[in-house]
Amino acid sequence: MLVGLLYLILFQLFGHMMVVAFGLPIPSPVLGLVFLFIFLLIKGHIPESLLTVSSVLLPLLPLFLIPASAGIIEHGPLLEKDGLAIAVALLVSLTASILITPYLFIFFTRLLRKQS
Amino acid sequence: MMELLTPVTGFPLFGVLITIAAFYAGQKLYLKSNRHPVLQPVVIGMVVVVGTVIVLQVPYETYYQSSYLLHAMLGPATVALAIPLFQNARRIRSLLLPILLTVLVGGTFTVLLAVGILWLLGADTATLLSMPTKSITTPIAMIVTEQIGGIPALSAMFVLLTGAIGAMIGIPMMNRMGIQDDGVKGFTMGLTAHALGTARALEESKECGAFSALAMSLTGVLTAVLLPLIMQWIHQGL
Repeated sequence: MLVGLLYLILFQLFGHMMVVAFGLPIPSPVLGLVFLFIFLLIKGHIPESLLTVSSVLLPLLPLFLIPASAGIIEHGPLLEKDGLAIAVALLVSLTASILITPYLFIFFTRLLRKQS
Repeated sequence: MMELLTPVTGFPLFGVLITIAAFYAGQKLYLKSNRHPVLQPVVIGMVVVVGTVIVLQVPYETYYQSSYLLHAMLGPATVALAIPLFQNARRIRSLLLPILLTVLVGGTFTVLLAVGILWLLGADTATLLSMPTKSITTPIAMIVTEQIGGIPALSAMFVLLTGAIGAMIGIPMMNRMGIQDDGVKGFTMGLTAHALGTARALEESKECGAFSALAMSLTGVLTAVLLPLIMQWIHQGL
């Protein structure tokens, strides 16, 4: 568990160092995620300590989101002004992507199968 | 009355206390409602926190600082998302290329459409910048939105709405369209409705759930890496 937590924080730190060193616009936890994924690909399996820590942390992810989500409290006027536009944008784009994604996936699967 | 509460609201762990209590209440209510997608623990938790903060007249900044301990865990927990990604990627390796292409094309399409509609309807720039992460998992969405200059709290709201509505209408819509393959259904759920879509896909079948989880992870990671790069490129072009 503790070793797993160290892994996660060290990978985030590694991501952070890359961001600073190369002036990347990508958030450091996301780079940490990518590096950990590559590390797991090379290693070929997931270390026990990482499995333990992720089984504790991942179910708590929604809890960690609440402090920043509650910030919506400060944006009442913006929601009032853009509420309708937001509702239309969310509903139309969601419906449209449920309509096209299945066909896109079937199309690309067939296209690549033909080639190989 | 309010003076009596000063030691409570001034307590350094005040935010941590009410956030955990609100989230716990949210979990209980969610299970009682038979996991209704609108009653997500995070949604109930957020509403309870906002209500408490308003009633106790605590400035948001004070609450945020005293709950920072929880917020700081978002980083390591996001890194940990590599673990389910690895588990799912291994399971469906043969379809990786078509999956990647669909995520790229389908993901770009839905983002452009949503932002385009907002722009046409005259929405604020801050709203526009909080929209592109609407179909990816909340932690990544909030972190990326902060990076590109949107409002993280607003993006969280978009993500939750998209996920809740997608989880409700996705499977019935695809059944109407005559889509029968569980892999295709799951994949669409994960791409369009992230974790909430994946929870719904798991109710269909294991295969449906696995495809959904993979589509969700890939969409999240690709968006998180590409979106800030594209935004930087746009800024430099202007």
